[in-house]
Amino acid sequence: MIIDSNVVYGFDRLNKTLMDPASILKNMDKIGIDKAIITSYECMYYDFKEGNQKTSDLVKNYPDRFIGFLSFHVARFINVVDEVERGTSELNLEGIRLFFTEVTFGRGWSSGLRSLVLQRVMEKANELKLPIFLEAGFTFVDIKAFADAYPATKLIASGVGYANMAEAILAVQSTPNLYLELSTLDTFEGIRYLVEHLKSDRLIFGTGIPFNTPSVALNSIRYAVISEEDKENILGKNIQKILNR
Amino acid sequence: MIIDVHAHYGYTFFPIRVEREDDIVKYMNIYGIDKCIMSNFRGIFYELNNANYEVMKAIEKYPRRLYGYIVVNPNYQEESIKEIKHYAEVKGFVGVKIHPAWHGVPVDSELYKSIFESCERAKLPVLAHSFVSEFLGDQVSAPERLARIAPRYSIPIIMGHMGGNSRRGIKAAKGIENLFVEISGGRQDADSPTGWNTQRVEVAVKELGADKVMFGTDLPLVEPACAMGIMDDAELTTDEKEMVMYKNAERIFSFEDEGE
Repeated sequence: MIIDSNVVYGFDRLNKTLMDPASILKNMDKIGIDKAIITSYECMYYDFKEGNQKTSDLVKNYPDRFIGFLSFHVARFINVVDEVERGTSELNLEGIRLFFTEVTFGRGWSSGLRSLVLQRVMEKANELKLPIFLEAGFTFVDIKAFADAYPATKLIASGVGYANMAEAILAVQSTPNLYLELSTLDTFEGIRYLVEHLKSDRLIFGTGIPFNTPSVALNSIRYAVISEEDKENILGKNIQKILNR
Repeated sequence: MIIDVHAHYGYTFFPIRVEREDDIVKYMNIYGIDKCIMSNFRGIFYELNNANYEVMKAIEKYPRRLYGYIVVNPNYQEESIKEIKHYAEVKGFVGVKIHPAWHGVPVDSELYKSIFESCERAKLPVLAHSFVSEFLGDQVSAPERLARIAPRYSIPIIMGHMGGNSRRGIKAAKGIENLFVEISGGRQDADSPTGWNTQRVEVAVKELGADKVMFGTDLPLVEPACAMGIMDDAELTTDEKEMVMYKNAERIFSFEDEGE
């Protein structure tokens, strides 16, 4: 089974990106992705409660294709923690996606992963043992510190690439709850290198649909010089374990 | 009378409680604002779909108090022009709002051309977000860019926030008949050295004439007390204050309720 850990849907105010659910499914079917973890883009730019409700409804309509992760905007401190409770207990969403832009909104406006608001949310996430998907944009020094602070969560960090691969490996080796999502990895033989140093059970498949062409991420794994068992782990088994599915 | 030409409607991701028409009117009453013209955050930060429709429903509830800007997005040309055509005919919509920064399109880009042309045909003034600074803001909405294109059109174009840096905004608007400046943006200029914060209204009136300066609060993003306080402190004649606070707005917007 192939499970994509990195998909958003909704509306893109900057470009005519095809990110409605029907287009997403078409994209998934074209390359053979069985399921996707999906979050509403609306959570980043507009009303996250509305966005999370839409995700819940979408998952209800496509229970065999979508797994819902909730999100929120840390600037809206009044009810952000409550939304984690609501998202998991009422909306049946299974994890949290932290958007990079919405966490670090504007230069000087936000403290990124050190946000006091985010700390409160992460304490709840830790209590509920929720998996967290962290978008690319943070250093692995910060990501490691973040993961260490919340050891009961499983943190799936996107963003490993040329410049930070060594640091990412060191971070994952010393942080049992840290995983790497691979949609940003362009490095030639990068996946083989990561498997060599980390074993495949800490690596998670993701595409970045609809912003990335999904076949790039999928082919990187299919063509990697690693065992079939490693490929199966990366493509679906690891994320299933994280989600307890 | 007070007419606020720069207000917003709807949900925002900031921890602000004032979102819908009942709350907006409640605060208008507290501050003595008679009319305000709102654009929906939904269309600025996220999707066009329903953005202007939601404002229409709000306007229906409070006629003669609430008015609307048609929000458009230059990345969605056809949809934007349809929105202008449709809502130009709906009572209560008196202008068009553009937000180059959030839509990632420079205001002097070709992508805005057909939008401005549609506004010309519909005879609708345009409120353009404009906010430059080193620390906050952007360059796509720079006042100089707005000044470059405003003379091509006959409709009034209002530079929101006086450009973010009032020195640049006032300089850019000087000599351009249809380019106005609006005062909202908080208690300071974005790059304020001393002397250009609360005095920005006085300087604008002196440099541009009182007939080119308009009152706006940016509610609910900014506490209306900021704009009200700036006007309270501004050393202007009664006539000049009245022009800024409402007479200019009455002149350039068709509120359609004269004589009712």
